[in-house]
Amino acid sequence: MRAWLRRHPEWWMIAMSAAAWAMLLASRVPPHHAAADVRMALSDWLLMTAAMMLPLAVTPVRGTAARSLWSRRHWAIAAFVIGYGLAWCTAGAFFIVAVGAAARLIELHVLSIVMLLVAAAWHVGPARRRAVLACDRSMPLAPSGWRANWDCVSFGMFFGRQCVIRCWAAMLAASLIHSAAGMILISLIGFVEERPPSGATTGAFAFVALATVV
Amino acid sequence: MAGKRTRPDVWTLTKQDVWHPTILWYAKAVHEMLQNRKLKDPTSWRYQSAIHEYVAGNDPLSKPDDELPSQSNQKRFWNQCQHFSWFFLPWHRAYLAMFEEIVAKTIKEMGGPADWSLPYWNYSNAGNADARRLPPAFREANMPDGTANPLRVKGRSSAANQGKAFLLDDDVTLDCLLEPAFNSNLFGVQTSFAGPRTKFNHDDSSLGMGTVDQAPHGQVHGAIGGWMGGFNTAALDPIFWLHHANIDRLWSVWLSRDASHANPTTADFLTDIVFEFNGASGNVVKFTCKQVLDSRAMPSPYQYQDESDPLDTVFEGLEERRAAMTDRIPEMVGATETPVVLTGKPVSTTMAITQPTGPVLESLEAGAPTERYLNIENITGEGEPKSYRVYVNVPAGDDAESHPELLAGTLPMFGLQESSRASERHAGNGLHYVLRVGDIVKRLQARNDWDDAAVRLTFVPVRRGEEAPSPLESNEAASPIRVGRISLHVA
Repeated sequence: MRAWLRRHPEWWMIAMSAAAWAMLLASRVPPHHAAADVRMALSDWLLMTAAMMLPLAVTPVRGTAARSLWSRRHWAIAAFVIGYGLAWCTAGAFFIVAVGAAARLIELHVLSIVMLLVAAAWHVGPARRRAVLACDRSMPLAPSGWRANWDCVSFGMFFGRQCVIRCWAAMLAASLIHSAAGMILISLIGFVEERPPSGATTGAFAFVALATVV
Repeated sequence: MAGKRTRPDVWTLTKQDVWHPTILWYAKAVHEMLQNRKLKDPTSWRYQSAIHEYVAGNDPLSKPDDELPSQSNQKRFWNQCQHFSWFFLPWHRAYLAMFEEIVAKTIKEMGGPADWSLPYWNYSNAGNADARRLPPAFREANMPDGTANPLRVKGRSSAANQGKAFLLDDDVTLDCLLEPAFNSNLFGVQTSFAGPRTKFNHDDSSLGMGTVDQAPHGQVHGAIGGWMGGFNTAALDPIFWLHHANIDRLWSVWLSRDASHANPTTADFLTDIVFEFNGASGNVVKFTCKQVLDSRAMPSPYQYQDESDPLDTVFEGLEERRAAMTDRIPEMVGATETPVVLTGKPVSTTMAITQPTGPVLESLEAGAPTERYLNIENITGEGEPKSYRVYVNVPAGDDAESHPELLAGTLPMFGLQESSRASERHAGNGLHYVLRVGDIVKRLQARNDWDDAAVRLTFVPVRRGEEAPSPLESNEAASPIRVGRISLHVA
């Protein structure tokens, strides 16, 4: 067990994701989207981000740990996760306001179907493709001191930004459909289509299929 | 195709006849595929090159009336080359097999022999005084019938096209055969024969590469230069295919030279990834790595004229190296604080290091030997700059090149420009190299020249004879190479 934990210093980040999933699945309160309840909506958004998006950061987090001094591996991971969370938090605040405004014009159920179709289109577009590639970016990290922490935060923010570009439509759709099964399916699409060698049509079809059953 | 073919050594053929029929028919097929087939034809020369990589704005053979294949066809078959990955060898083996099938069919249709096989260029052959020269058929202006020779490419280094023995020891080294493991596992901080464990990987160069990918592969690409210097043009040069046949041959040599050398056995290597190509009839052919592990058991089986072990010695350090690969979790013990800029002149930098504090410390306390790896990370730049040698702890004031015992390795710049630019094909990480320095550290420790608190590294550009600097070389000061970070790892 000790050897496994040493080889997988990201274990606690995965545990955070698992805990977030447990809270989401156990929650009986529907997610909040209205701009009037921004604090609750943001907290729901971050819970969803922790559940669905932290697993996508396993590779850069493991790389960050491997390229840090042994004594500060977990600090490096924590700094990366903070940067990653900041990027999603910023995006979440914007989306909550935007969804709140849209919800005054369109029924939420219709909006969720529209978002699933947008997610399908986004899934096969060049911008998402570029963001997927950018998720493979590495950055030189200072070995110690405040610069090391800042470099890890910056790397996390960069990766988070690319992840937002890559997954924003899918995450918005997931936040609107109010279904644990839907969120699990959308997470699976993200994993299956994580590194498409020749297009992402399977994922796009999955979003369209989901839109037809919502 | 019936029977097992033998891929011949191009220099053996050349000694018999500069225009041996195998070489002459290759030239005729190149002409046919290049001049008479359109870009969108999967059996055309340019389409075959685009499978490796294609950049529309950087196609030296582009024509105004070019008709590209459909977007879906491009996405499926173009820009597929695998580097910086354990798929480097199997993907290129399948690529060569399909190319060879197309060329062989072309030759047969032109009235040539039915059993044509792709030759290989063994530039590391110590028994051949001409091994480091480009075979003459690839540099002569004309073919025997007086027509222009399609095997000659003008943009190569002048030394190569002039028939000089232009390849250096750095280029043709076979140190890769001393690697104990096929692949590395943990983010490329360790060396391996073929490359790091990855998913399908055309874009991500941040995990380092296998030693065979680095040299002779990358070094020979860079030394020849011109089209061979970039991912998106390399396969346009007819020598590319003979070079890669030799790299493919080294895979067979590595496997047979030690009983412990083995291919990976996990599904993520063997079967999870399917590579798609076009066959000689335009049909889609799919390969998994499992199907190409043994060249003698492929759909079109082949062997090489010579698969003997060129080193022919027992390597005593193999067990030690293997232990560091399999049992340990590597620890980073130091890294540079700021980037290092290379401008075509020798440059030195010093980085602070610490003692291991994790599992490596426990290994040390248990008396286990350690291995050290230098990681040269995020090397970015433009153009086609020369390679750099990296030396460890050269005494102050000494010429680094007078200390070959302190040479950690050479950094080829093949693909530097493409891998440095973020695009729809690359993440923009630049190049990443891993150099094994355990033996150098032991040597320095033995003569009390090793400091446990700091390492001094010296980068020296590789000069090739008395050749005048090319326009690209003279531009190096204007387009310097930036090394993002250098780190030292212990396992």
